[in-house]
Amino acid sequence: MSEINDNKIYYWLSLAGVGARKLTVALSVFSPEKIYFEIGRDKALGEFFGKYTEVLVKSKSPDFLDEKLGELYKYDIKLLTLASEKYPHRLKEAEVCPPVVLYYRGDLPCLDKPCVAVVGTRAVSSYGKDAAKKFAFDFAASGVTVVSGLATGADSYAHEAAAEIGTTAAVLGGGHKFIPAYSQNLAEKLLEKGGIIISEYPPDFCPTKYTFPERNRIVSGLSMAVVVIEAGEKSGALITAGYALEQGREVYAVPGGIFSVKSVGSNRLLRSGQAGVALSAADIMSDLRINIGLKGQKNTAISLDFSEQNIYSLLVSGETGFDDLVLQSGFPPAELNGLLFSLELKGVVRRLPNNRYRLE
Amino acid sequence: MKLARITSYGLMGIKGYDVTVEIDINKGQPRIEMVGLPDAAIKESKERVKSAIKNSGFLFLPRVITISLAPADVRKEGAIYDLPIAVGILSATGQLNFSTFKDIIIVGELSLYGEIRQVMGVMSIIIAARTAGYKTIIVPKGNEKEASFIDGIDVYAFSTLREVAAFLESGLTNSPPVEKQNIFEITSNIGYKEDLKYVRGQYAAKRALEIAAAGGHNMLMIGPPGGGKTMLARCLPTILPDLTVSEALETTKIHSVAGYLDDNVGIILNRPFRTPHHTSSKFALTGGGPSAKPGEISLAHNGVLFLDELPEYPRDTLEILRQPLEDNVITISRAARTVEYPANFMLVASMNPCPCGRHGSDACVCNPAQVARYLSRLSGPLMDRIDMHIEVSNVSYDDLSGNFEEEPSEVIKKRVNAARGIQLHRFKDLGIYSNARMTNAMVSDFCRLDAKCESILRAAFERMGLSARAYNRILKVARTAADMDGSLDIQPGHVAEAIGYRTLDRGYAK
Repeated sequence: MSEINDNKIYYWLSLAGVGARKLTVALSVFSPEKIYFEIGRDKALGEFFGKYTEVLVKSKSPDFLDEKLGELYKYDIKLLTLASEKYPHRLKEAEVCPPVVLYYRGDLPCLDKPCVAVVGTRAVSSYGKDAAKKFAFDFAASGVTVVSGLATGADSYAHEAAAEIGTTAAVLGGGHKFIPAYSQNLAEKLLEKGGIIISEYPPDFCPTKYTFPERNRIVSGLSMAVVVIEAGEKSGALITAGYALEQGREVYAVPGGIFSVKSVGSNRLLRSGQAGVALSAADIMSDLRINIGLKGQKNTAISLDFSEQNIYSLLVSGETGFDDLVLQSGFPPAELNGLLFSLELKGVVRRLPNNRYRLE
Repeated sequence: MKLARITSYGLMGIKGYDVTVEIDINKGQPRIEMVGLPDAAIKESKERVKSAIKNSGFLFLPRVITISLAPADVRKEGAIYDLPIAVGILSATGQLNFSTFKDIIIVGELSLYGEIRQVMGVMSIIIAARTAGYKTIIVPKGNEKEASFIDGIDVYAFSTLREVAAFLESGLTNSPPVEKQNIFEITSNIGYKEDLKYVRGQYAAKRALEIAAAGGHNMLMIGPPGGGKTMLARCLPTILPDLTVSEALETTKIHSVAGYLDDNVGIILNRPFRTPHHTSSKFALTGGGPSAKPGEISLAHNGVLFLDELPEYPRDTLEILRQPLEDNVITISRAARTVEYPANFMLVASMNPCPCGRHGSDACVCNPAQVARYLSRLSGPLMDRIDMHIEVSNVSYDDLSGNFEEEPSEVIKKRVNAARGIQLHRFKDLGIYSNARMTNAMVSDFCRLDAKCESILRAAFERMGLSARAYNRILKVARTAADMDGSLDIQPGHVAEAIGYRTLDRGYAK
């Protein structure tokens, strides 16, 4: 709570009502103290802020500021200003257009570790789901903090997998009070595991359709690279990738099927050369010169009997439906059910929706 | 004679009780008084009886006629008392002389022409009358078939009031009783339009269907639209085990009471397959209405209740299924009466995997929260009562276009019958017919697992996050899989297969 006790907090808090881009320009001309004390009186300031002048005057009243502070205290939300030493260094870069005030819950140090963003569409396919989990898990297992947007779909899978073994950071598109109910458990879990939830908006700020794209700049800004798991024609993940390119971050995309509508956007990134091909977390970490310190990997020998080997060999060529396995293997359905299940228990085979199976 | 007493029968649910019809004739301003809690149909009976008597060539004398239906405190309904009232009036006015009416039961509705129209619930009435020790019953000609399956009681069927009068005057000799038919001589499985041999591929689903049919397990099919869920469900009756005689009679009783019995056949020999639409009201499912008629779940007794598109049913409609699924009977209380109908049915339901129906394919446009919300329309307590959830996938064009024929239902049915035979033998003194109906105590008796099976089940619970509610369900289904194999013990393969039928427990939406 050291930042909150700082007197200067008032200057910054009073600026929270102004958009980040406008504020960045303003701070290159005026100091926060000047804005705080002279707004409403100084002519140059009035000209610069235009319609915001009134908001700024109103928000510097002590009552208003105390109410804001009380709210932060109530929700256990901490506050970080651009001036703070603890402010994440990658986010400070001018290209990012850093938020003046960050509202956060959780542990800041995880942002000092190498960070990689894993993002993707909300309506994720089972392939995208597996990919998100795999990349996020592998990154987190190597000590990389996985950054994403806490949306449903790819974001959630990434946070979930990362929180299993390491740290993860979620950037919200609205205030902390507006975490949707279905993400509530995930949010608590990632905090428990030393992760962090960040927002540039005050806790009672309701997200709008404009704020989600805005927050994407923070997702990419915090990260060294952005991995796009799956993105359709107009996915928000493409916006994140766009910011990443502007900010000079690496962009990777997981290749998808050419007929899959959910991979149209991510495949196009690959085609245009804007993104590198993401095949594994290890590749990306070596590109980024992150030391790979794997943990939690286990490699045990698995023994398969003759029938199981038969099924295994049929699945080597790729994902296969149950009916085809019946026809190709010649096993009666009853027996095949048992075999597939025992392979599943051994962690060799994965069952997919629609009665389809593939190797792990 | 100025007094007459005729015995007839009433219905309370599917149970019959005897009703005494008494007629008293007095002088006075002509009128008909009726007592004994008659409903509207019975009150109108006097008009039908008056015309029927007149148009059958008898005289309807202008007298004060008092009709009493005893027991007086039970509400009676239907037109079933027309015939006994008419016979009673003829007898009381001296137009019909017979002395044996003590042990004869008479039921039937009259038309104005004097014809006897068929009535509902005749099978229940005959069975109840036989149990009560009656030896003779007169029924409408239209109910002859239905009546012919019950032996131990002489049934006479007539089509006009005149015939009945002549028969009674002759001292029950001028007409032979209805010839009895043996249920076993009637061939079942007549007229199924569906057959599993026309369903291409779908081996996993077919196998599951076979197990469900053999063990009577409640089943939920999940799959994309057009994948063949409804088709598979419609084929289910073709592989269900044959009805036993007592099951057939019980089911016929319900259909007879509801008035749904085919009068040309007169008995239900195939397991019923009921498909109420999702706009059906609660009472259409449970039964009810002013006269507490049986609903869909009772009509599906000993058969299948198929609910297509399960999440589309209103939640409160689904919730009322919980109690009958547990108790196998439904009790309906109305102001007039409280009746109990059997409702021992197998619940088969189908649903899409997500709102758009394409879950698991690239074309799906639903996000996980939407899928979870869709699945959450099914309440936990209802899902607790479903043994098997299976996925029915789309068939590919290759599967559809191949030129081979699949295993016909007949062959599958033989296996199902064999497995059901094992179950009937196992449960012969326990009052149940199938593995699905085992109580927890029976499960621990009949579904013992060896160490190897235990370890599989333990691994499944730990690694796949199976819910605790799945435990007994898995054991029951494994028992059926073992019965299909004719295996005395449950083998590891049976347990593995049963676990495979718990799709929703394995975090389907995650």
